[in-house]
Amino acid sequence: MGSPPLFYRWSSKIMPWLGILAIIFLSIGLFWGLLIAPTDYKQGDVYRILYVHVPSAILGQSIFMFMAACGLINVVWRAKISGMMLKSAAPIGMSFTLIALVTGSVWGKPTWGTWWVWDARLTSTLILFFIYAALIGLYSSIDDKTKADRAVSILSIVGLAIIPVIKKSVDWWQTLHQPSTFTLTSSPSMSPDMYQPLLLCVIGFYLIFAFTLTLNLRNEVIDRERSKNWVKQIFVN
Amino acid sequence: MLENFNNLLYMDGNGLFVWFCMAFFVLVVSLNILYAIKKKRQLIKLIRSL
Amino acid sequence: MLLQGTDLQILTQPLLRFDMKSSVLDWLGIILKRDLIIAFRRSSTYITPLVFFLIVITFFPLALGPQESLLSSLAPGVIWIAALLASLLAVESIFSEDFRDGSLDDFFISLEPSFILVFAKVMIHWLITGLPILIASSLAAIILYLPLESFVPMILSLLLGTSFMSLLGALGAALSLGKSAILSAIIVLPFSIPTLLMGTSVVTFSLNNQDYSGFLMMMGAMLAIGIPLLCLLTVEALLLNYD
Repeated sequence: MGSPPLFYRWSSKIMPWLGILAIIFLSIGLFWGLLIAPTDYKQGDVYRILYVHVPSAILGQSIFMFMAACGLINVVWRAKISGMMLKSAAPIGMSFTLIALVTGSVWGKPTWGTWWVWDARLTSTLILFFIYAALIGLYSSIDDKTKADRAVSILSIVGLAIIPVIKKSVDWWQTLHQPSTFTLTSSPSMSPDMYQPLLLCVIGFYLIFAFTLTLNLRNEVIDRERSKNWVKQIFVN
Repeated sequence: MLENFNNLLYMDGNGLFVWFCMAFFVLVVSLNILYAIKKKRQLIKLIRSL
Repeated sequence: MLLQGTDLQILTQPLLRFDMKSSVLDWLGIILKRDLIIAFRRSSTYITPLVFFLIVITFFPLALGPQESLLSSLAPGVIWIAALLASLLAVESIFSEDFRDGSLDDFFISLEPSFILVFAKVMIHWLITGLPILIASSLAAIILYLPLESFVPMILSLLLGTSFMSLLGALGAALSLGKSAILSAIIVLPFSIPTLLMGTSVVTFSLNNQDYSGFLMMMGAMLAIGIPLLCLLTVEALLLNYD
């Protein structure tokens, strides 16, 4: 998908399929998870928040990894399309991180009795959210688009290097200040009929990310190529 | 029927928390998509006016 | 007032001397000398972060009350937060002056490894913010009733931490060159969280008589990786302005 017109045509064919598949996976996964899957014997029905919380937390992190990979490609090979991908992925990643934070805190209220606990995972998700905010803030401050892409690419590489350090240090910090008595997800003890719908949800979330990414990327492509002939041929009849 | 609905909504008492999370997810994702669609409309208008 | 004829020559000469063959260390020395002279001419560059640091430290007892036990338990965090904010205060000035008057352009044209330029700028930033804070931190520790045994770990952790902050700050300054100073702070702050966590852990561990050497090693490792990686990325970020 090197050339923008090729990408635009190719993506218009694949995008409806992404959308349909995302809706299918999400509706089956969420219906199964929220209504059919058995109740957790310890937490009761609140555990069902997991079917939204865990996939969005996974997405929040893997979108960042995706962005950092794009940033690396953009800095090293100066590939423009990877810069556009980076820009299109950033708001989606931030949204999923926000969902993970909000659902995590809503989950905390009935299970722990407070809206917020300085749990290691919640804390590092909050920091991830701030890093997304920093990336988007840097974007909006630079007018020249290629320049903004490269600047954010550079920052995302630093993020890639520092995120493992953040996780590790938050873990240490947490064991230092309070013994970790809370764990949200006890994955090894999860039974298959709880795990299978979760898997479907995760796939569905990835698909909805791919769909939204393609939407944003197409906008980005026609925005930057707006004076080119092929864009005019498509939109001006 | 109504009892069924109540069971669905409240589950074992904390159902509203679950449905809130669900609704929040749908809201944020659809806002993302709607924003992209709106931006595309603006872009098309801009390109036509060029 | 400090500078008379010979000093002024240093300010103008290096650019001529770059054309001759000289080693990388010579260049480092020349840039350091030049920037130190510029920094010492305007005393606000090194006084401001220092005063800011001490004022922030003073605010905590005023806001929280003067109980000794409370203050000494909060001291590690308070000192570290104040140090982070103070070292961010001067971040914007790392490149902005040279960018505005065009000396940065000259450096990039004449200086082969621009890595050296960035490294020198980071060192200067540390010398005018990190070092004064390091010295003032022992004063802050006395005000906040930090036990005397924790002084050495506090100084060591601040030494490693403020150096890393200068590196990060240089990247933030390069990315937000010509923009508002608050932008560079917002860019840098989320990335400084591990430094804050490990730095405060060092001091807290020493308060509890626990072994803190692991955190110091981790901070040293971050610095060792950070110097090449962040300097190279800062060069890349600066080059964005010269496409």
